[in-house]
Amino acid sequence: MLIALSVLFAVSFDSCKKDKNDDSTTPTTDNSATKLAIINQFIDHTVAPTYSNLATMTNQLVSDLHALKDDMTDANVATACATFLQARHWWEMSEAFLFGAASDFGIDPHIDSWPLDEDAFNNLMASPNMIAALDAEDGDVIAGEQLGNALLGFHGIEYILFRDGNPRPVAELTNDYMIYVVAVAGDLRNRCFQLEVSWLGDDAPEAHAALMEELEFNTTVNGGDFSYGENMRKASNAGSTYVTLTQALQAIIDGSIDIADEVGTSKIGKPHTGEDVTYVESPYSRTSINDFKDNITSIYNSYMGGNEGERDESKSMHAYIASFNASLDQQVVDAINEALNAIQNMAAPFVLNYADASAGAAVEACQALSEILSNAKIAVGER
Amino acid sequence: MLKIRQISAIVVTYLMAVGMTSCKKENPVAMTPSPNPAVIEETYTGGLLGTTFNTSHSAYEDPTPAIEEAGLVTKFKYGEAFFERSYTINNEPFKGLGPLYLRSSCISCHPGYGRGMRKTNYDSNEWGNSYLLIVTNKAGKIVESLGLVPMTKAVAGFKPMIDESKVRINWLEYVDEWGNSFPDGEKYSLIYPELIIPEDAFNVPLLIDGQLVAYEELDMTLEATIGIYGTGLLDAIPDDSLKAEYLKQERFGVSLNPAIWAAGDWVTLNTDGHPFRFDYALDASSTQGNVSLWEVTNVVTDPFTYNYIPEAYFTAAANDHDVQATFYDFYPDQNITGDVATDIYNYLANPNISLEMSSEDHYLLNLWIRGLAVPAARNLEDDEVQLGRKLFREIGCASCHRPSWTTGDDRQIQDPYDIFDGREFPHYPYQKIWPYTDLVQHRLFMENDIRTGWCRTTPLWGKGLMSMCAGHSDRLHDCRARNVMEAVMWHGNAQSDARFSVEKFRQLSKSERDAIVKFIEAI
Repeated sequence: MLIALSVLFAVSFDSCKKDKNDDSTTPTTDNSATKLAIINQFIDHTVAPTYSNLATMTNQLVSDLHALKDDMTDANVATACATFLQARHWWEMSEAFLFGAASDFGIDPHIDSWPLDEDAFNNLMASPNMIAALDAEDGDVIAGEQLGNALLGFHGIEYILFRDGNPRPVAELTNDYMIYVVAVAGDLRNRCFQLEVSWLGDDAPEAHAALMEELEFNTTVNGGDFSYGENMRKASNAGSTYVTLTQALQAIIDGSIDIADEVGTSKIGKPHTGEDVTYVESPYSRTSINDFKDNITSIYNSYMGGNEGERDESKSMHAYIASFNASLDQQVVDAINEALNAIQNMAAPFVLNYADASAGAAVEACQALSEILSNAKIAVGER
Repeated sequence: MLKIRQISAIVVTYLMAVGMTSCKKENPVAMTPSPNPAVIEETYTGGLLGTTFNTSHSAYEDPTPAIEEAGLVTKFKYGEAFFERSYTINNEPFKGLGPLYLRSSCISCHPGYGRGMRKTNYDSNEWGNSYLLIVTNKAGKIVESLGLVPMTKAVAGFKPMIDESKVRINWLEYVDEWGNSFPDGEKYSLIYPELIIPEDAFNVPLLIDGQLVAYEELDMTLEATIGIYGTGLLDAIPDDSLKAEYLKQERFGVSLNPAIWAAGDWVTLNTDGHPFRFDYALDASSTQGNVSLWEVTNVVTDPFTYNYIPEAYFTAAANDHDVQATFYDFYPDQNITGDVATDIYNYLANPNISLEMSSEDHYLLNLWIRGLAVPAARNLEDDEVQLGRKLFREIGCASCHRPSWTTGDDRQIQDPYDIFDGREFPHYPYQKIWPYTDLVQHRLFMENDIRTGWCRTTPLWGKGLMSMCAGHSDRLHDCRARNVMEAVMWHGNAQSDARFSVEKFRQLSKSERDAIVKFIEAI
């Protein structure tokens, strides 16, 4: 009976593999070194530079907004807007790895909730006590602790600085708006430092780590000793939340699956299908299409072994999968490129053109990308 | 040894599993086929129709195979947004927050789509703080002017029921009768919370049965969230099966909550005639009767067209000079009678508020709730896990943490408010599921115990992934246990319904105790 069972299991197991139309090879050697190299490359050359740039640009944004508040000119508005867009770019480039600190510490909803609560904003502006508190030295801390996610983060700042896709005329910016935006930008910077320090650990700038201590922000996994980077590098060792190196590789792909699906089904899909035409992110700066492109680029960087300028494909998921299933890898690479192309071809701006066929094509490309990445996750799980 | 017929059934089940799910997203897991068919069966914690093989950070977020088979994945994703996103006062599509609320999003109490984490202070803006401030008299009766969900946030112009800046949570050390150590010398740590809401933190008079309650008469405790995945599967267990479990326990002389069951039958059923099966307090009987969004945010949703706020608050706010002073500034269109106290009262007490969440959106959220998959059990083939599995049953843990149930035909999904007519939901017929709960209340007599002391056995399924998905591994109703061992030892009070099992647990060797822990993490 047991023999019959094992034959059945073997047959069904193999038939599953055949259905995937692959030319896969079975693992014969221990590829721990390869897996670890991919993990290290991912942390050092995708996650770290992305979060470091995000930390730098959000810090710069605080400076620019202080400079604007001290000298209200259209030129200074333009500077702040340009910095905002750069900071946003790096955040969107991190969305293929929202697992870890961004989720565990609620940083994602804290800095990227939308839509903004406009009524709550108006109530805040009518509240002299709160404005005075935001204007104080620790206004960034007060903002982070008291305003609530729907008044914080990128979209709070975006609401002040942009309208209809353009920087706002400086005449429209009241002193109270500036108090608010400086405080919110300070809180954004604090949270982006938290991302950086949480992943980089001892490799993060000392000043940033010191601020985390001062603010009493968590920066380790489960309140323990490991940074998120260490936790992943130590996969399969005691203390890591990753039981195996394979599980860590799967986590990397899982993050990409999530964002591909979200961009396709929700960010583009909901307005496009008419499910919800109010569901448009970044409506004030009208940078939605840039956001989508950056999201998919984040997937590209995670898969191809690093950000542009520090990529090493030999230490990438791409090379790894190609080594045992070349056609699956090719499908992934093609799907990423198709999604990028489809997004680049979307009629702009998204808030005015979500019903266009080009948006529908992007939805399909992103959903197809999510599907093929799911197959990649399973394939990686088999080794 | 399993009989031939049983093995055949399991083989057919396995083949169906592979046939149905092979090469689709996530299923089946790429693990070495086990020679033990029982392991396969138990791996499918949510049955064929309710299990996901995802072990990554998104393990609690997947749709069930039933959702996939029914072509409902896109709708599932649409519904998910209503759980994940922050609500606003009036901005589409997540609008209707206030006038009072507890939190502005569901996910902040269900981080990683799991349950809340242990907190050393109470701040409703803090991620992962899922605590309800439960305020009762010494007999465990809820202060009705606060209700079951005392709201600690308010939109402009109003005050919350409780000023949360004054709330304190102290964590105290507890030493059990064994000095927090096992006979072999291994030690553990036990801590528990003390909740202090000072008298001047209340912005409503404290009333029970219409009478003022003295502050000294109050008991205050914390309750945290439980989790959402798998509630659709639990919902599909037939009422009769629940009844059979109570009858069995009564026959064995198990102490049962007389408010729920006595003398061979239900004492209390829900208003629609169905027995209770959800929440610590067993106050909910169906998944589709879930109205937590409304209860937490006051987003007006079918079928409730009024605020989820006790009447005593309306009166308190109407007579509050601070509220009166700014009410017409914040709400100029509410200047109706010219008498501000009357207008405030009528605004809050309005029994006919227009829906702030459309019926369609409410359905989508409910679809998502019902459609969440349970993560498959992991590592069941491991020898240590199998030892733990055996011991878990031998020492009696399974008496309350009943391993499995089989769902019914699930053709007629309970719709207690009759609002989902014609809507499509996933069905989970005849699924063998492994939630490790008997869905019955028991008592553990722990320090600063849960309100009334009676607490439904919490499902253990999927909790081993909590640290991966939610960034913490806190257990028990107020998150006092930081790991499985502490959770087990909180079952050890001399009067506890689980005392017998804990005494046996203490007699095991360290490797046997560790095996049980590993098993509990694996399911």
